[in-house]
Amino acid sequence: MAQPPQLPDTPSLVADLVQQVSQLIKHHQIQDPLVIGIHTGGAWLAETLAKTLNAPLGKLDISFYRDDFTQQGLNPKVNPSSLPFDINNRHIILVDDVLMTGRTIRAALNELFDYGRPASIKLATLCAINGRQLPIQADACALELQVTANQYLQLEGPEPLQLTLIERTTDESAS
Amino acid sequence: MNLPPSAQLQLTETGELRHFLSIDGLPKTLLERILDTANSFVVVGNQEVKKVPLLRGKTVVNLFFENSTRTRSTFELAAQRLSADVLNLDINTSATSKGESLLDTLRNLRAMHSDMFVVRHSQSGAAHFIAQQVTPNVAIINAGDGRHAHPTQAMLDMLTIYRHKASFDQLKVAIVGDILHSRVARDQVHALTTLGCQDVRLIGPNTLLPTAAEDLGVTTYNDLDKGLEDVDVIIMLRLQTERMDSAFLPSASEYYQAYGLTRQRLSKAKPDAIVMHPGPINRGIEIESEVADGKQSLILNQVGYGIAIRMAVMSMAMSGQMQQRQVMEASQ
Amino acid sequence: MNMLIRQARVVDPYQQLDAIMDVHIADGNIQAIAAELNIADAQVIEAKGQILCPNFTDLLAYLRQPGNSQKGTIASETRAAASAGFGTLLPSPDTQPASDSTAVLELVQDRAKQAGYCQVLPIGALTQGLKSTHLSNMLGLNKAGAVAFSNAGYDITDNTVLLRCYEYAATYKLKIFVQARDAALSHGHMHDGILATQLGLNGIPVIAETLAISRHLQMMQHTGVSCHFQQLSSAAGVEMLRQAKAQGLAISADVDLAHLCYTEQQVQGYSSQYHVQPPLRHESDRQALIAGLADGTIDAIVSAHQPHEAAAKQAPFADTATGMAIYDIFMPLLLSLAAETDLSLLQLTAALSKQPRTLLGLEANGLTLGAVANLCLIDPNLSWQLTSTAQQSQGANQCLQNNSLTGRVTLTLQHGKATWQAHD
Repeated sequence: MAQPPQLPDTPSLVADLVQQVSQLIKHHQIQDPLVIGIHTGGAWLAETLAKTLNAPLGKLDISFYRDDFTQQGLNPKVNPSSLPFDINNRHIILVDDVLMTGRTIRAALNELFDYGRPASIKLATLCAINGRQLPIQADACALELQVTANQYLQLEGPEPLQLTLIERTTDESAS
Repeated sequence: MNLPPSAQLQLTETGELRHFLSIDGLPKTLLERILDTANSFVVVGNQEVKKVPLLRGKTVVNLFFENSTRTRSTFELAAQRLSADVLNLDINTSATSKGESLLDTLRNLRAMHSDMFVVRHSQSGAAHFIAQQVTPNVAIINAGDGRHAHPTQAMLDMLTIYRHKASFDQLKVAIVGDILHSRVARDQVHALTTLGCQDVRLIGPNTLLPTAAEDLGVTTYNDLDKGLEDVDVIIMLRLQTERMDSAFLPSASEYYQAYGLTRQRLSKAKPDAIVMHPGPINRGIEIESEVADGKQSLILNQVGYGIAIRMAVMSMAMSGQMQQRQVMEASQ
Repeated sequence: MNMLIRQARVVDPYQQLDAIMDVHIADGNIQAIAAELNIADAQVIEAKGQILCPNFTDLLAYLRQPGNSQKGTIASETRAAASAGFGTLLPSPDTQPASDSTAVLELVQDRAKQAGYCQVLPIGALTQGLKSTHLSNMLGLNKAGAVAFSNAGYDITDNTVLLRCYEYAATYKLKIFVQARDAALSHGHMHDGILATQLGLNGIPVIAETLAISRHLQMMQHTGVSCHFQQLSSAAGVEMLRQAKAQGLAISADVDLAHLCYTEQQVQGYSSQYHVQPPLRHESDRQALIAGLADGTIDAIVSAHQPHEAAAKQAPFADTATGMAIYDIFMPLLLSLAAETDLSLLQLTAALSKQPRTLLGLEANGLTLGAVANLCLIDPNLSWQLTSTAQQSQGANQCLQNNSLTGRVTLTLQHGKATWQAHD
């Protein structure tokens, strides 16, 4: 299928994101951050980030916190959330692959607050596209893109990580 | 959909679960989805934060026309872990014993605008009747109706098997005891055969085996030793003392002699066979203590799985219910 | 009245007649039947395609009064009977109070006469209060109009009492109607088979019927009473009666229309409209009942019409009342039975008129010259809908409410008067 707007290659985007997050931490003097990725794309990215920053790694599955449960039903295959630390009073770097409507982040924030009360949360996403439905923005973002109504972005992985622009052929709804 | 009427009542137009009344007629894919969904809730149950917000703002009413503290409390816990508001109504001692009909009780409940009823009743078909009366506004979960069905119990039994054995296709499963009066056994048979089990055995004396049992797709045995040969899963059913009084059995001791699961009998099954029981167990009547407490017994695990299954079907049925309500409101 | 019914298919089991004829009725009597008639001044009813036959005699229907008028009244239910082609009916003695006193029998007959739709011939209660312990005043009841005696659906479990009832009835050559069901084995709610197992409902096995038949046959032979077995439900039961008749025993039998048309499958989904006693059984039983009717083992078809108020059927299955309201759908069901089986219209009308009347010793109501007009006209092709206005019975437990139906009685004459005419 045709792939107009050529995307920059993914490794360089990831490197860019890691750089931005490091700068963010330095700039805000964030102590001992926790890196928490949202399944599945955000979790892959969070692994890389956590290793580079030498920070503890956690993973969130937001299936039970989605707001479209009554329309779409439950996704039966749910990955376990694992937060092997106490998040109270900690600074969190929340990581996701694609920021669009903002609802995934909203669900993740709700879930985090069921676990405890963090000191702060910064949002790092690999890319952000148009279509925001909630007042949520990334603090670090490697790629901002305008897409048409029938295009969306998807991160494949875990090895190698590959961000692709996809033309919607059927009437699917993105998250 | 070419489903029996009782199955049609349970599903939305798109095949989603909207009432959970009995396993009879439900498609295999749906049962598998329930098991997968329940598996994720088992994980949740092992986490520090056991609550999820799926049913926040929804009201679940436990409508128990027949006493059962155990079943009711697991449903209550499951609903609370889904963040629902829970109301317990023990009807058996109040209005209906004063002659109020079930229909009037339901009409009076309408005013409470609840979203889901968990119902236990002594009459077979009661859950279907209630579902027909309250559709489309309320989702019904059957917690046991007469001798007919106890679908959440059967599904938690399936989850237990699912988590401890590879697949259903190659399994030999034995169900032992008072099958005639057991609502669980009927649903267990439906679930096992739907999920692909080819060798289901019902074991008991003729007085406790239902009419035309073999037409359910099972084999019946009167001899426990024979029936347990090479079996992978043994499900023991509870024997109620009333059975002796109403001429189904002579005595508990004779029953134990013929059908009690002892260590010796257990050795006839495969060495890695698992032992299950819906509870509460009658030690020395259905099962030897050493077996109930032994390493092959999964009786205690069943309880945790029970909460996960109930969370799964409650969230699935609530979702299907909301979807169906929206469809109906849109068409008006 | 001066009526010319033209070109109907006249079916008269009394004369073995099945032909297209014109029929002239005046002053309540049949004046002429011929291939073609020309009667001046007569009201002409064009009946091409319709069936004309003697009106029906129902050996069992529940009129509900006295005592249960929330379910139906003598007026409403006899009107419903007339709309189904019935001219005579025998009401169940299971009223409240039971039909064990001349007062009740007189009340029932008076009300029926006042309503004016059907001739009602009472069945007297066999025991006082139908409580199965004491003999009823059979002689007095007979004098007050009872044409037969029955203990309704209540099995007399004490053999001594049963023996005395039959001996007493035999004394006065009174006819016994018996519903053969063993009480202890009849606590269930449907046929005992795989469906009962799946639905978790208590079943009533076939031996509940055959044990009772055997018992009553022996009692009958021992006491000399004459028994009519009502509402057969099983193949084994039919076979027992077939053999009994072959041995020369003076017995007769009937079957209700629901058992000829439906099986236990109707109960799927806990459909309480089909909760009946005796239960609807397996398809093989239904086929045996049809065969029994065809070979004469079964003499008559009854309605067993049992109207109920809505609440009686709105509960979990086992808690619902038994019985089906059937008058409003009687003719459509009868016609589909005729279409589905080898039973001819002559056989069916015989089972509904000639045979029940003969076994009761009632006068013939065939379509003979000079006879009083007791007949019904049926349009087998008429499409209509069972709406609440079309429905005649008060019962809320009609199986096919609001359904489209084919076939309807368009006219019923009883004792020369029109008791029913279908409107659009």
